[in-house]
Order: sequence, then structure tokens, then C-alpha cells
Amino acid sequence: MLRRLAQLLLLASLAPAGSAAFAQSGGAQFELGMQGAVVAQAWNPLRLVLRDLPPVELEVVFDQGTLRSGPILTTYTASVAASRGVRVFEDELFVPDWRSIAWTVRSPDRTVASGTLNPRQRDSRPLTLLVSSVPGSWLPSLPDDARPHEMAASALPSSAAAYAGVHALLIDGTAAAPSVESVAAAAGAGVVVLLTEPLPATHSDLAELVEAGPLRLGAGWLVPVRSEQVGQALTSFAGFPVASLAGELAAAHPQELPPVLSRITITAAGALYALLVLVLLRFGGDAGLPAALVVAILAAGAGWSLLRPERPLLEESRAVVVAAGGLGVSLDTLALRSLPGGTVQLGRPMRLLGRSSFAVGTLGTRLPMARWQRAILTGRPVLATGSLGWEGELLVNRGERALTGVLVVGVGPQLPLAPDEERRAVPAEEGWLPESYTSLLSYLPEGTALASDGRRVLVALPPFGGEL
Amino acid sequence: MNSLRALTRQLASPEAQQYLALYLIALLFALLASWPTTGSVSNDSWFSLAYTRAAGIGLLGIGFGINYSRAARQEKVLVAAMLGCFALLALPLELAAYAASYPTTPVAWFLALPPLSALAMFAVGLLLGGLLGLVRLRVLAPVIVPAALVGMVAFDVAAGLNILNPFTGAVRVSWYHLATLLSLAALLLLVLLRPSREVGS
Repeated sequence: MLRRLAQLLLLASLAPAGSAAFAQSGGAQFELGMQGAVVAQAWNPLRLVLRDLPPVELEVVFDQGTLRSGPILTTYTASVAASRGVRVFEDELFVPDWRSIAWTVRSPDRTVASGTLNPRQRDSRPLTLLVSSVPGSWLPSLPDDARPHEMAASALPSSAAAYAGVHALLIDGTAAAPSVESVAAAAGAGVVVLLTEPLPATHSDLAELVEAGPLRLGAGWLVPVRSEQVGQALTSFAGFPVASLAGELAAAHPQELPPVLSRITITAAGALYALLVLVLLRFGGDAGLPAALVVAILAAGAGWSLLRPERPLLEESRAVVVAAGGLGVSLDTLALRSLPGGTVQLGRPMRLLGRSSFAVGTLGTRLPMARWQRAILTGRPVLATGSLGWEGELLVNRGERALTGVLVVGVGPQLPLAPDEERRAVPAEEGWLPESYTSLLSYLPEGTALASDGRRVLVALPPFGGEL
Repeated sequence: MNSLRALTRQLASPEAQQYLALYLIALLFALLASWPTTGSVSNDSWFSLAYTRAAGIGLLGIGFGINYSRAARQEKVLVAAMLGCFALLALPLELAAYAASYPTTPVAWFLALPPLSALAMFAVGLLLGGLLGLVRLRVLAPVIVPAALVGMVAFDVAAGLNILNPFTGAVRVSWYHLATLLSLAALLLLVLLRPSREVGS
């Protein structure tokens, strides 16, 4: 009886329209998260539906502050063109560990709609999406800490970033079939997609993908399961934590600072200059002052050219691509250091690692920085083709650039891979490895291949891993 | 030409040499103390140098001003020029720290401020010297020099603006401070360089 009651409560929580992240007012309908289910500390889909409105600006403000720290605001803004009839605006934005979320839709002359999210909705647990006409029947199979959420197949996004807060996607064939693109985007982003067998003919496109059994695709999995294996599959298969890996990669890399003379050298040079000036003034006679001024100008020029850093903003951009089964997910990372401080403008939307106020929008990111402050940002995950991969037992490079620093976890360093080269991994003694790998190794399962094409770190996950 | 020769002689005098050496040593000490060691991330040495410069020029300017308030006009001109030279000759030390620190303060501000401050502080010193002479309290001159600097800071704190405080003005652009310095320097130049009426008498 109690179990039945718990199931009913869970069922009630599945209804997306009951969520406060879904709100309609004026001519605007705002939805944050997967049909209103927001996942903190993850990229979430955002959807704004406008009806017969002039151009508007959407502003979403996240406050991560505490009583002690004061407000720490992340502000998202997007401009949406005028809507004759219905206009749908969709994007993805990173939702931090928020205390409050407030959104406003403004036209040039008035506030069209606004709202807030209930702080009790704050939850960083990843979602388990159920594409089913009988979602309640799957609840007993889910682990205790799962966060189930009913999802219409047509509402599944087709961008990888929207799935950053999703752990699993269950498709049981009782509802309409989702598009292959949506399922591939989910798997590529690191979601465990469970396809219960047997699937009806309407789902034949999906069934074909898993004819040969579980398939690692991108950072996630496509897994055919029988109904009674769902719970086991959810615990034994896990998506690869791409975001953690990218953050680690950016944070671990020491940023090169401008060269600085030692304290002794700069003081000795200064003392020498002071002495020279005093001697010239004292013993230079009538030419003493002009000579001292010439020395001052020369010293100033030399000091400036020797000590002035070339650029006020030091940027180190990196990318990591995690691939398997011919599909990959790519994540950009950016390490910044602003020497004078001030506001840094970036031409793309990114998220900031760590708690600090910043503004992001469809056009870019604006980040206030203190003097010499370092900031690490990551972009949103996007689907990509990984040039490094496993084809059977062969390690292949399908890209146009040679791959260096090749390493197979558990096997050892390998020789560089030329474009279109394929080779069997051979056990090797320890060899030279890029420094950036050290921090990544703890994330990588045995059999993972790692390489660098100069711009990106490529990770090829092994085709094996989970078991039923 | 004679003026340049006179200024050169003034700068070669033991008194000027001592004060210039003292000023440069103070700046070098600030540089040594604040220059980042290996492993430090940020370089904030320019701020220390800018504050030291503000204090040095303030003390020298006001001190010389009070001492020379009863001197002949030609002598005052030479001392004002000497203080300007002090400020210019110390600039390379500060420029090195500025280059490495990368502050947001504009380079034009930091290049223009030291010579301007030297003239303005000398003007303040002359005014204070005149006042002390008027009330026959020149004996207080050693106390008045630092007290004047403290008074400038206190005035700005009370006013909530940067008008007189040479320390805030040294590192942050303030139009009020600039206007004050320009006014004082202009007043000084007007008084010192005005044509003499005694010619031919």
C-alpha cells in the first residue's frame, strides 16, 4: 500500500505542467529545463513561445549568492525578433547551483511577462526521461535516487547540450517514436538510452541501431533491454562525464605568465640607474642634466620593452572530443587571465567554472575580472566527429591531422598516428606523455585511447564497458 | 642657457643630491619590497611605487616650499624646476613597475602627474611657509610638512571626493584632483614667472 502511494506521488511529480519552470503570461510562454524539469549544475534547454509580440528581450537572472557573500548573479539575455502569430525561441543555458531564478520578457515599451522559480525546485540530480504512455509502470524498476520525468517524444531536443542534465532516456515503444537525431544527440552527450525489447515497427529505425547489442555512441550508450533488465541496465551503464573531464583539462593546465625579471635583477638595475643619474648630475658639469635626462629616457624605453607583457588578456583555448561508435561530443574550454582586470567580452556563450557574477547571452559572454584574475570557462557540448576511434581492435585516425601523444589506458603509450592510419595497440613501457593527460587519467576506463591533434585532446572510448 | 646652467648647478649641489638620492632609494626600496617573487601570480609593484612617489613628492614639495618661502623669486624658480627634475628622473623606475603591473590607470596620467604634483606641492609649501611666517610659527615647519599631507587625506575623506589626496590621485584618474594640481601649478608659475616691476630701479 505504501509503495503504491509512493508511486502515485512520483507519478504526480512527472507531470510537466505542474512545474514552476513552465509559465505562461501575457503573450509569452517560458519553459526552462526538459519540459520544465530544471537540473542545477548542468546545461538546460530553454524555450520561449511568443504570440503576436513586437521584438522582445528575454532576461533570466540566476542568483547563487548567500547571506554571507551577497548576490552572485548570472544573467542570461537573448533578443527575439517580432512574432506575427507564434514564434518559438529555443536555446540552451547553463543553470548554476541557484538560490533564485527570475525571468522577464520585455518589449521596448513594457514588461510582457515575468516570473520566478520556486527554490524548492532546486535539484542537481540528473533526470531519467521516460518516453512512454505508461511511465508509472517503470517507476518500480528505477533506482531509489533516480529523478524520473515523463517526456513526449516530440519534445526531445536534438542538441547535445540539452541532455547535459540527463542520466538516462527510456523508450518503451508505447508512445510515438522519437527522431533518430534526438536519440543520437542524447547518446552522444552521455545519456544511457534504454530501448526495451521488443520495439514496435514504428520504432524500427531505433531498433536497427541496437541489433548487435549495446552500442557505445559518443559519450553515452544505446542499450537494448528486456523490461526486467531496466534497473540493472541503469546501474551498470553510465555516460562518460565529458564536462568534468573538460573542466579538469582546463584547470590542470598551468597558464603561462608574462616573463618577470627576478627581484634582485630589477633592484640592481634600478640602483645602477639611480647611481648613474646621481653621478652625471654631480660630476657632469653643464652637460650633467641633459645627459641624465637622456639616460632617463633610454632607461624608460628599455624597461618598458623588457617588462611590458604583449597582451593584457592571456587566453588559452582547448577542446576535448569524446567519441565512440563514429559519433563524438566536443567541449571547448578557455582559460583566461586578465592583467589589468575589467570586463572581458567573449564572442560565444560559455559557462564560468566557480562562483562569480557574469553575463551570458546568445551573442557571447561578458565577464568582469579583477586584476590578474584567472577564470576558466567551458562551452556548451556539441556533437562532433572524433577523428580518433576504435574499429574492432584497431586504433584509427580518420582525421586530416597527425595525432601525437597517443596513449591507450592500460596498454601504454603508442606511436603517433598519421592521417588515415590504423594500427593495433601494442603494450609498451612508460614513455613521454603530454602533461595535460595526468589529470585526465582518473576519468578514463581501461582501453580508452587518448591523443592530441595539436588543438584538441581526442578521447576514444572503448566499445565495451557495461554488462547486463 | 644661463637658467639651464643654474639648474644643473642646483641639482649638483650636495643638498639636492642628498634629497634626490633619498627619493630614489625610497622608490627602490618600494620596488624591492613589492616586486613579485618566483611563484607569485600578480605583479602589483606599481601601486607601491605610486604611493611612495606621492609621499616623496608631497614631502619634498611642501618641505622645500616652506623652507624657500622667504627666498628670492629666482631661487624659488630654481627649486621648483629642481623638484620637477626629481619627478622626471624617477619616472623610469616607476615606468618599469607600471609596465610589468599592467594597471588600468592610463599611462598619460601617470607620466603627467609626478612633475605636476611636484609644482603643486611646492606651491602648497610656499603658501604654508607664508602663513607660518605671518603667525611667526616657522619653528613648526618640520611638523607641518607631514601634517599637511595628512590634512589633505583627511579633507578628501571628509569630502568623499579625490581633490587633494595625493595617494588616491596617484593611482586613479580624478578630474577634481587634476584640476586642483593644475590650479596650484598655474598659480605658482604665474607668481614666479610674472615680469618684475623692479627692473631699472
